[in-house]
Amino acid sequence: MNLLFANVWLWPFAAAIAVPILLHLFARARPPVFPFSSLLFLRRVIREQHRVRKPRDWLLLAVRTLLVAGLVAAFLQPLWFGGHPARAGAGRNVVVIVDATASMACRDGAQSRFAAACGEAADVLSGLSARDRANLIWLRTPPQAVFPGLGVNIGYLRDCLRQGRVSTEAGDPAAALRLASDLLRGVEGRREICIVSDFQQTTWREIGAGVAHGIDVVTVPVARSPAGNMAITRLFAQPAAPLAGEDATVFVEVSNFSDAPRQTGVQAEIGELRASRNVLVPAWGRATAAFRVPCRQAGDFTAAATIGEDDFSGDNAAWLVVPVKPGLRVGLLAAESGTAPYWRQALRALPWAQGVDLAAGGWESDAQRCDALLLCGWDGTQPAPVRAALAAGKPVIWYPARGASESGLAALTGQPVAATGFEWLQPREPLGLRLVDADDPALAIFAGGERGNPAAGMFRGRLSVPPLPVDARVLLKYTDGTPAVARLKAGGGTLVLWNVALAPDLSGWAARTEFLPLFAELMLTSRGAGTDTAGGAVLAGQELVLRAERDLLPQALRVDDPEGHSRAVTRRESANGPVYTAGRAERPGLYTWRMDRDLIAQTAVNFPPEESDLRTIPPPAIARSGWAAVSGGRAARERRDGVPLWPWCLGLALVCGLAEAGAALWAAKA
Amino acid sequence: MNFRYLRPEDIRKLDTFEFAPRCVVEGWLAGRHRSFSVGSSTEFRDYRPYAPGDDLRLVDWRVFARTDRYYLRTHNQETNTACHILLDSSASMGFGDPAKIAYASFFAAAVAYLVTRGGDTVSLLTFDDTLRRWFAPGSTTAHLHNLLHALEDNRAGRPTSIAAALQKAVPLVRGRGTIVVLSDFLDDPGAVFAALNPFLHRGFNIHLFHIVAPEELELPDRGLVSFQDMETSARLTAHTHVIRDGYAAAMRGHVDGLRDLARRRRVEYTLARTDTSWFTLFDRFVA
Repeated sequence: MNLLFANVWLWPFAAAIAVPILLHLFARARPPVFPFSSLLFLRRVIREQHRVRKPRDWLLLAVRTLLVAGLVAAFLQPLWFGGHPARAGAGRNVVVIVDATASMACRDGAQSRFAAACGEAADVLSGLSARDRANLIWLRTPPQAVFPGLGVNIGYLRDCLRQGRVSTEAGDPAAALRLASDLLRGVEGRREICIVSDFQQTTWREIGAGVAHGIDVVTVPVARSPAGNMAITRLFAQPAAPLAGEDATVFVEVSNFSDAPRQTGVQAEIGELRASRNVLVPAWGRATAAFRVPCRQAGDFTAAATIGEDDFSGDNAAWLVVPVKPGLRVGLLAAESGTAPYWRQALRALPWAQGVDLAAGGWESDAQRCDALLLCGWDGTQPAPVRAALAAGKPVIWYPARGASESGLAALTGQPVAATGFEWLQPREPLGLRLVDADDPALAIFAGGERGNPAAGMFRGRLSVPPLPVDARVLLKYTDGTPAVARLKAGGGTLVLWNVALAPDLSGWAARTEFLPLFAELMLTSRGAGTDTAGGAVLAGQELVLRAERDLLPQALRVDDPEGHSRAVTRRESANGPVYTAGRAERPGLYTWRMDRDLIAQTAVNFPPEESDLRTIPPPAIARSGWAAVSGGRAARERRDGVPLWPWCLGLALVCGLAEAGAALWAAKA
Repeated sequence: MNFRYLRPEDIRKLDTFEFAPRCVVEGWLAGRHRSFSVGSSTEFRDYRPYAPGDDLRLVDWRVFARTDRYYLRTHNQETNTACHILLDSSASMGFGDPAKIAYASFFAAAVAYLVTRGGDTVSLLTFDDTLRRWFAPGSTTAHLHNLLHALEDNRAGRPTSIAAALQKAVPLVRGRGTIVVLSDFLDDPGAVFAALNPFLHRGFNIHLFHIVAPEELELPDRGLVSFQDMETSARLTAHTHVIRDGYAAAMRGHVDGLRDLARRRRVEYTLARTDTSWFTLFDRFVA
């Protein structure tokens, strides 16, 4: 039975329950004798009343017994544990994880989810005695524990809860659970992790796991009602790093996390441009507002976008720093001797390109400092720097090495590729080219015909190409059907697969006038926006990092946060040179790096987009995962400590007392 | 001579009373009471046609002169009457203060005095579940003294059975007259009246005096008590507060039952509370 008694030593007093029964059964009234003429009529009357009196007597006995039982039980202080096993004796070790991620700022009625969570957590901690130990973990990026271990100062934890503030960061539940498990590892007694959160679906993708055996997990969902939300989930420029003199487009992606279409105004402040657009966002959908911006000179400019205010305002603004480059720094890997010289020659011919030769061994580190990569004869091994470049929106043109395996292509595209590799083939008859996708931006320059035909020329050799992914875009194809130039989506950017040999004995294409504009257009049109985390974009909660080209004095370096407060900068060494850090960015906005008074860089910190979707995991789904889901901190405490039944026992005794008095009064009136 | 149940002050009060039951009586002494018998008194009763064998002295010749028919002139015969007192002496009659048997004995003594003073005869039968003492009818002062002594010696004792006692009394009570039954009638009313039937058929004028103590009509509030039956010594524990209403209703039902049966059998029934003077009983009994 899931019932414990706090005052077990009072159990002998439970025998008092038998007192009214014994009195009822054995007490004999010794009334005075009243000599009476005849019992004839008395017997008749008593016989008639007996039917009423007997049940009344038993009822009175039951009421009096319950009265005594209620009083005795009240002193025994029973604790009811419901449907889970009761455990007594050893001390309790409780770690409370309070979700302080950005979504907890959402208001449920009069208070925010975070305020409710702090209240529930305080309820969880109340009731712990001096022999119990506890700790508090704020679920942030990364999770932070108040004490380094389990502590006995419960009052301090409650103070922390009172003073706690919600962050604008995303959370890492797995890390928080690991930290909680580490805190509870090896301790004696009962171990419990109590999670107080809104259990946002995007944050809590995996529940029911990640906790060591023997630790009881109790969840307290605090989200009371489904909340709709409009958010700027992405702000990016296309291209991510435009060249001076060209136009860039800044896109503001607005997401509607509700089940009804919504219209909102998007205000953008991009450099010196101020503009607004109205967008209609479908339910659970996205819409994008585009702002075209001319980039007249090199240097950074900032973009800030806002949408109309709603109940959850943290994600209604976003910032972006767009670097305008004077030219592209193009890294050339010249592992193939036939084609690489012509690419190098083409780079020299392009005024906005600055060619940098990448050493065949150890080119990966140099590739990070390039704005574009030309990989001539790369065999596909060690694709990490290429993937990073693609993720940053940098153009990559790859001419595979002869005999290269298909693994490089598979690694970059993330899709399975048939194991055929890139084999060199020389057909008996020269091959011609065929224009496949005339609408590709890179071929738009040839649309008028004045710049020639990019598909002209004859070719005496080519690589065999494995079957490309279905979303690959083939621009030029050999007459035998083999792709000659194709675009592939890879790593968040665009990979240009080059299969045109430029050596004079294989083709005369490098000497054709079409080669240079096609080559240049392929590079320029392959620049992408990149992913949000690439290229120095920072989300709230992440560390502010500056990678400087030159060595800076950290003492003279400072960072001003959006409120204008300055923070110190520290320097540390990394494999790619010195790195300057200014701690974690607590809130979204523009952080300015200054050397003395000079602005040297800006970092845009944005709201984590996964925090904008306020949908939560319903408690039944949490319960199905194996974690207990309770309605509140008090319920969690009662689950841990048991429900004190003594008020009910006392109430029962009072009710029985009143019932006994009522029954006596009834008997008197009867 | 002083008697316990016939005190000098009672005798002085009784001087204003006369025993005259509201009925005709039959007796062997000529007296004041009308009789069903047609006799030789001076009180005219009726005419009837002459029948052979009639005494010619009774023919009314004046009527013969007018009607030329023989009619006899009849007169009511005056006679003395007998009063039979049946006194319940069971243990239950000892209840109350004054005891019901004492109350009944006062009344019986007064009746006997009035009867003998008027020259009529009086008998006394004391009984409980059986006949205890029987005094045949008499009208002398000595007879009265015997009755008074018997009443003084009488004690409430054994269990009662009025019906059985009345049945046993049928052979003792002869002729016609008045029967006075003094009892608490703690018996089945049907059985009591069934036992009275022989007397009713014989033309007795029956008076039932139901002697009750006020505590029997309405239980005193004594709380939880152990009632002890005075006849059987059986005990019954009950709270008077709880049962008094039910008991009063049962007692009322018993009294109403007796009264109803008495009315239907043309028997005089009087409820006599011992907290009232027994003199008031004569209001229903004598003229």
